[in-house]
Amino acid sequence: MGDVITSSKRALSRRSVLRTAVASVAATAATRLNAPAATLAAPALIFRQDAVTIEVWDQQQSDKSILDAYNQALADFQKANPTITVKVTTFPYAQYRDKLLAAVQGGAGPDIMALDEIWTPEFGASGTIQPLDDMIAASSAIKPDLFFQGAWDTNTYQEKIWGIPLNFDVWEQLYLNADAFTAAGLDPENSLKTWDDWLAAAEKLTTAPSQFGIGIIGHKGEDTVVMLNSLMYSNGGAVIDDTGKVVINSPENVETLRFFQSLAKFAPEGVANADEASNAAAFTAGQVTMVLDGSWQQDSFSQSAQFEWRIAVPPAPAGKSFVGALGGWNYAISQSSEAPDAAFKLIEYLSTNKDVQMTINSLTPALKAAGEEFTKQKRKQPEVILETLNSGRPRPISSVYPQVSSAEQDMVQAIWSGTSVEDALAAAQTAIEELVK
Amino acid sequence: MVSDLTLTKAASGERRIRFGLAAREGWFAYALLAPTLILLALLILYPVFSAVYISLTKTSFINPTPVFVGLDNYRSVLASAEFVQILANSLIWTVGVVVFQFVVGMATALLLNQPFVGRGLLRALVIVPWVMPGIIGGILWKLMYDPYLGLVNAFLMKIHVTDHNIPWLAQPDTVMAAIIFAAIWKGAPFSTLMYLAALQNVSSDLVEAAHLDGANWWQRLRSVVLAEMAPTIRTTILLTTVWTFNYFDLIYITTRGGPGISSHIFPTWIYEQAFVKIEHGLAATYGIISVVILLIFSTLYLRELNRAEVFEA
Repeated sequence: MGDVITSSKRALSRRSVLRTAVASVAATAATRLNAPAATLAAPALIFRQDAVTIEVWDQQQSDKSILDAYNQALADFQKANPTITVKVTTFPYAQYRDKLLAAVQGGAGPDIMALDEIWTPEFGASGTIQPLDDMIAASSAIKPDLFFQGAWDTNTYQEKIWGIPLNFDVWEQLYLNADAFTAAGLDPENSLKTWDDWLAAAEKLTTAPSQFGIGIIGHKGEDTVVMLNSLMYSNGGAVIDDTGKVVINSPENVETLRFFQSLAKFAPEGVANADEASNAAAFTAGQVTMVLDGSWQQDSFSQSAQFEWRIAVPPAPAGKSFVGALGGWNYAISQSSEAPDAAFKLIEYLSTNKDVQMTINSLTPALKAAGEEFTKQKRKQPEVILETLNSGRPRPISSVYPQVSSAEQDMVQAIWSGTSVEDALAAAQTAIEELVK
Repeated sequence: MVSDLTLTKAASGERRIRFGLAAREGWFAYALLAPTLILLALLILYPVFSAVYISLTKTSFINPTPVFVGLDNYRSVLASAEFVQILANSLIWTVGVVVFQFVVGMATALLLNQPFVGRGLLRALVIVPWVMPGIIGGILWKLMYDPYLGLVNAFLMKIHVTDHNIPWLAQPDTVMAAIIFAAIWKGAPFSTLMYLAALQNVSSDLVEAAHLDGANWWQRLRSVVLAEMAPTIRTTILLTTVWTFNYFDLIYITTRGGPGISSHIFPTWIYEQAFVKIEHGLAATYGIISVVILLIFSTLYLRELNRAEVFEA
């Protein structure tokens, strides 16, 4: 990574030439209209010859304080790097992937794009983003061990690094309605260690239809998959192993899905259409006494829940430990970017500056130092979160992950419709093998 | 004296001049039309041909170079169990929504055509569901159908229709009825507006004459009022059919096509192929098939109506 001038010269493009030409015309006009101003404008004009504009696309943040912090961080960056102008466009999450796909497939799109970690290998394989290995090797700021391992790993695909992690979190922590636990004679602080404990507690807490032991996410959506993967990982199962082999149809996963079915008996009716939002609402309303969710839900539960709630590391099968599936966001640079060095400089700033990382994230910062402090400062029971963050694993790192996820969603939907666990897993195995071959 | 030959030559020359003028005028007309025709070709024909071409290829996000596969996509789609279910879902959905939207829209229009206090306010309020964005409508109905917190079950329990919390959107046997009901709520106001406007043009003299001739209420409605409203009814049914067949937001927000594929119709399925699975060829194939189905329906519908003169004014 060179200094500002070097990187800017390398990035000189048609766009910057055009901009300089426009600036020249404007400056000439200003000279004629106002001669004394021209002498002041001239040095600035020479300075702006190397100017580049970096376009950033990101998902929309609803929290105003994060938005303000992000804008402040960008202003500080531009002040320190006067030749770089940053233009940010944000989209609601639900629309973001569609917009991004349409843009990059059409050869357009931004210089920097925030990618959900599950999209990163797909974009890498499509050739729409560029590998960052050389830039990382030359960078004094970005070192892999500065980041949480799980977050960093989501960027490695086919032995190349395609992005820099911005933030991450683990699905799931187990949220407990402590008041309901106490009322049922359960210890909210230390009663659930194994899956058997979990089932027993869910049964004890269920007094349908007024109260249910657990909220299960089971609709057609990524939140279902990420929760299920956490359970699979915790039982020693996987979807695709480290060698790329599809291993979803395994005895461990049969056991996991049977447990999932058993747990669902203590969930409200309508599991097949229940999503994260409906489960969170049911928990807040006191209708369900346990839900699996990420640490980001703490903000809303703190505001809305009218009871004492706690979090715990979710139980695992006897003799095993909970391993959560990770989620989060990475920054990647478009293959068509005309100013990749300037783009990388901005990514360096946003991902490795601890103060910036502390303020621009709603999820846990991927930078370890910031992430640990963020969790301790902003989250209840930070030790639980940090434990799950450190043991968490990414979802399958595959260029066809969205389709793999879709096959898993179909599998879950089939189980709700009465297909046996064995048949559903066998169908998923066949479908995913077809996808990854 | 002018010879016949001379006359023939003169006539022939005149024809040539006329033909030349006509030809020049024709070319001039084509030249004037050219920009419009080119624009139409670019805006309509190019995307259509492009979609047809993509449907004959295999291409995806990670393998963007199209590989020509001929009719393979069509063969695999038409032979798949998913296609049969999507087609059945689409037909049930479209017929259910259009028929009930007609009935509800017409009944509401007839009601709102009667003089009563607050009619103006009610006429304004009745369009609220229709002007509401589909996404908001979807979220609203998702909440309404919540088995425990939703108003639908609460109401049904209150009037003792059921004593348990029905998961309307999570069961294959209830989901389609649930979303059809939501779509009728969302779309019927449009039909109401159209029929209400048409009712204003029904001649009261004709209705009065039928009354004097001894026609009862139903006969007056069927033979006079509906006959007078025929062009509007025909247009509204055609429009609502096309819109309903192409519906997306309400279904995707409430069920994402689930459980399984119980509530997937062509547009939601095409979206999944195009933007989730990123199978452009398959998505285009389903798109072309759905357009063909719609074209066949529209053509047959219009032809039957015209032939039977059912609604001829």
